[in-house]
Amino acid sequence: MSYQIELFHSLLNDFLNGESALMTLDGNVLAVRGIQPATYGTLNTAALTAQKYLNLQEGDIAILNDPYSGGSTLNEMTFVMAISEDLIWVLRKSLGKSVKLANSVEEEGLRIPPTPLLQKGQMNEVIMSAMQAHPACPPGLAEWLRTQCQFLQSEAKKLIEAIEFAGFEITSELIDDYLKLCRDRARQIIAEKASGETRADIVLDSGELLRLNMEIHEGKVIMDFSGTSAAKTVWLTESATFGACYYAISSFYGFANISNSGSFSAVQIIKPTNCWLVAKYPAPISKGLVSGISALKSAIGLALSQIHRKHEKSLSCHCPLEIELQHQGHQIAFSIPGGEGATQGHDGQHAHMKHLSIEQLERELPVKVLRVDSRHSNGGNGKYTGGRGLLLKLEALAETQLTWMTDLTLHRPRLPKDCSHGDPTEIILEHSDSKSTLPVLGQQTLAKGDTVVFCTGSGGGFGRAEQS
Amino acid sequence: MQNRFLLGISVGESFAEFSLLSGDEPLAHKRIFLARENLKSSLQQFLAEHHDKVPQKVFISLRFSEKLLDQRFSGAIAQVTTEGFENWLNLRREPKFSLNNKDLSFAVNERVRADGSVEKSLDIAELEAIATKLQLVQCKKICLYFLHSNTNPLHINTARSFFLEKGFEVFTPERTDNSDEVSRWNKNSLNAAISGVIEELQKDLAEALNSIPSENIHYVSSEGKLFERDAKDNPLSSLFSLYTALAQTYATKDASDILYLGLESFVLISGNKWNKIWQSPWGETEVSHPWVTKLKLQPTSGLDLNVFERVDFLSRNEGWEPGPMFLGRGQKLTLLDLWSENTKLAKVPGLEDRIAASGVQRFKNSLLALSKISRNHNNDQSHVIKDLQSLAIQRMALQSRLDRQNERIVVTGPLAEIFGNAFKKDKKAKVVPQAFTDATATALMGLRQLKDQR
Repeated sequence: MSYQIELFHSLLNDFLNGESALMTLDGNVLAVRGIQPATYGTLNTAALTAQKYLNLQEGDIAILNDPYSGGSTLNEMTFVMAISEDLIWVLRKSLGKSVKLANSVEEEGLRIPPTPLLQKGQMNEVIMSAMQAHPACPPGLAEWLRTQCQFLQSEAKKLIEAIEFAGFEITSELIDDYLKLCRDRARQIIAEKASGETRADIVLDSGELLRLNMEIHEGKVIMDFSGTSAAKTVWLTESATFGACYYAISSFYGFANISNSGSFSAVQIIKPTNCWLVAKYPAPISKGLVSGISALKSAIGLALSQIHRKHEKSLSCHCPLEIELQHQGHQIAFSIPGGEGATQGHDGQHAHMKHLSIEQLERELPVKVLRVDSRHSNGGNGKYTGGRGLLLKLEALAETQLTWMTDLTLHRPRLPKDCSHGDPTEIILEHSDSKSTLPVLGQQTLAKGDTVVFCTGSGGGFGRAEQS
Repeated sequence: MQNRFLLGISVGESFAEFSLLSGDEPLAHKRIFLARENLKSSLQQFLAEHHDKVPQKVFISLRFSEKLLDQRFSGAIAQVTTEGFENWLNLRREPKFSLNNKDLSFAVNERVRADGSVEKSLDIAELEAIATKLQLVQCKKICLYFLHSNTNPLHINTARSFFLEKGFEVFTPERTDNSDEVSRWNKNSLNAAISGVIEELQKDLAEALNSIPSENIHYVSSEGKLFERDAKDNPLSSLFSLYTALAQTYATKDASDILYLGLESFVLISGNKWNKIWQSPWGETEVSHPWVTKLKLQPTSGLDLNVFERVDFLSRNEGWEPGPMFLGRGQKLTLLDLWSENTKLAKVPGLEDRIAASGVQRFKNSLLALSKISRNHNNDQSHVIKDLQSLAIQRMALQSRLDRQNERIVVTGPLAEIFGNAFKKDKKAKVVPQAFTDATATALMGLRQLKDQR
């Protein structure tokens, strides 16, 4: 049978769901899947760190959320399981959404370094009790962890049975062939498009500079971040930086479905050790995972557009508006995305929302939603217009705590000549008779009767608009 | 129920099946290909052929095509919402899956609070103005979406009565315990979009079954319940009815999943696990149904070069219209084409007289051409076919093992005999080849429901 590679590839696709990765014990990443850019760099770091310190045996499960050990935000738990003598499965699951404005990672919540959760079939009750006793521990964590462990055990069993049942042997030769094929294919796809070099600068609202010198040559993308400034309030771990860069590149070229050690080698990253892309403990991480990743997406998008003129795309509003509302212990957090940039031949896609219920929001918190709509844009003009952002207007019916975070609204990067800028994200507070524009992040108590209008940015337009 | 005749009818996207049973024993079956045969006349002919066995009860499952929604066959549909939320449904969908026409979107200045109290009363004058506009553009259907109408339906009921009196067809979200308005509204919006097509289908069936009293004709729902034809404002409730029937009919007593290998789809069903929400392309939609997952490989999965530039199955489904190449009309290679010379496939009712020698040859030529430009090119046609058959079978077996919700599995459906070999080694799998599972399961589930009701 000459289709072992295809069978192996489909096995990985069928098994991996959500934010997850499968690796070999010696560190080869066989596959990573997910929709969060940071996933593509952090999951393998999590597996390597857990294995290094805990030496997991078949069936053991470890947990971590520490960003400096391969986690992302502290409310996302990363499980590392040795599912056989030579395979490690990493799965990330969210405990819920929140918006954190903190000065250190310790203020962002309970930080869990790689910790053994299940060993020799036994749950580590001592550690779970200790975690549950911590003041920053989310309620019900221990029970949630037990449920997750049962799920991991059951899925791992299915994988082992499926491999045995198919009479399928995952040999080192097959893994080598697969990784080589993925590497060659990723490089070929890159090489088939244009090559060249360019520079893109993005300035974050907190003043950090992201400088990207991109060089595409012989099927390899080299991203040199020399010149990028030190952090002021935005930090990103090295593994999250790699993940964001790789994800942007593989999505552009269309090889995200073969993400593994092979295709990773098509992307090389150079960065100074003192820049904000190399976070050091105890720097906070939450803001970086929103602002920092959005800045990377913008810079990489601009650079790719400049090198690949045929696939030029105007700048999308990459940074969502993160919102959290709280009242008397009730909390709801959600994210409002922005519009996409237009391309040669197509208008940008308008923003749409996921997972928000107006009725639930009004039932759980003392707020009244007055309007939700596509935002009327002044920017993003051109022959092809940028996708519109969203508008959400709400009124506080009682005192309510509002926390919000966005970025990339103040400084407009230099664009290719056919592209125009879209509108930046705006947050407007109406209090009594006064109206004020809020900064890009903050926390405020809304008084009864206060109205807030959240407007996310629109995508940039493309081409010269025809005169009517 | 002994010696009483039952008729099961299952209408799918491309095929329809009829099964005549005596009690629970099958007597006669027929499958038609809807692209070539007319549903009404074929059913009339089937009943005429068995005129001596007049069915006392008829049970019907309908599984409309998602393509119907894309093509919006049901004509213009207006929507009236609480002011400020005219675009809310569209904003919760990917723009390409928008179902609403912005020119037919209206708002009324009414407001019900989250606790159900009325903040702003509904003004009938606003409804009058909307009705006048809709009459001018000859729009007959209206969907109503008022915030918190699930808690207090006063305004939505008033508006519904108003528009009904004016002669409009009105669709309002069902009152349920689901607290997310979007999934309730989505269901209503999809119901409105397909209501016209389903009504026509039900009319055809009613005409073909005119010799049977209408109270003896029952439709089965995704929840396994029976409903009458005039429940046409909720056609979405029948979307999963076939899968429910299959799970209830073929699952073993010790709880098992069903792997249904049908002509239109390969689906894994778990009858003891239920979902309230359907993750549809149009967004989360409230439809209670058994846990169902479509296999990544489907009977009409396309064949082309994969990311490694080797011949492989695509994630895209080509569909039955015009169908696999071996039927003579298809232009694109599909999974089923690989079995075009399989004698068992040639005997599958509905396909037996369709296979065209020229179609089979065209498939072979196209596959060879594809193989030649692939990275793993192979000039031996039969080798390529065998390898791809083996890959397909192994992939189906692997996925059905990984996604299984119960330890045991029953493999059934009209193509189970062909693909069942994949499960020979699986000690927890039982292969039950059945040529007419769809209509038979529909009839048997309907019969059980009637007994339970009594």
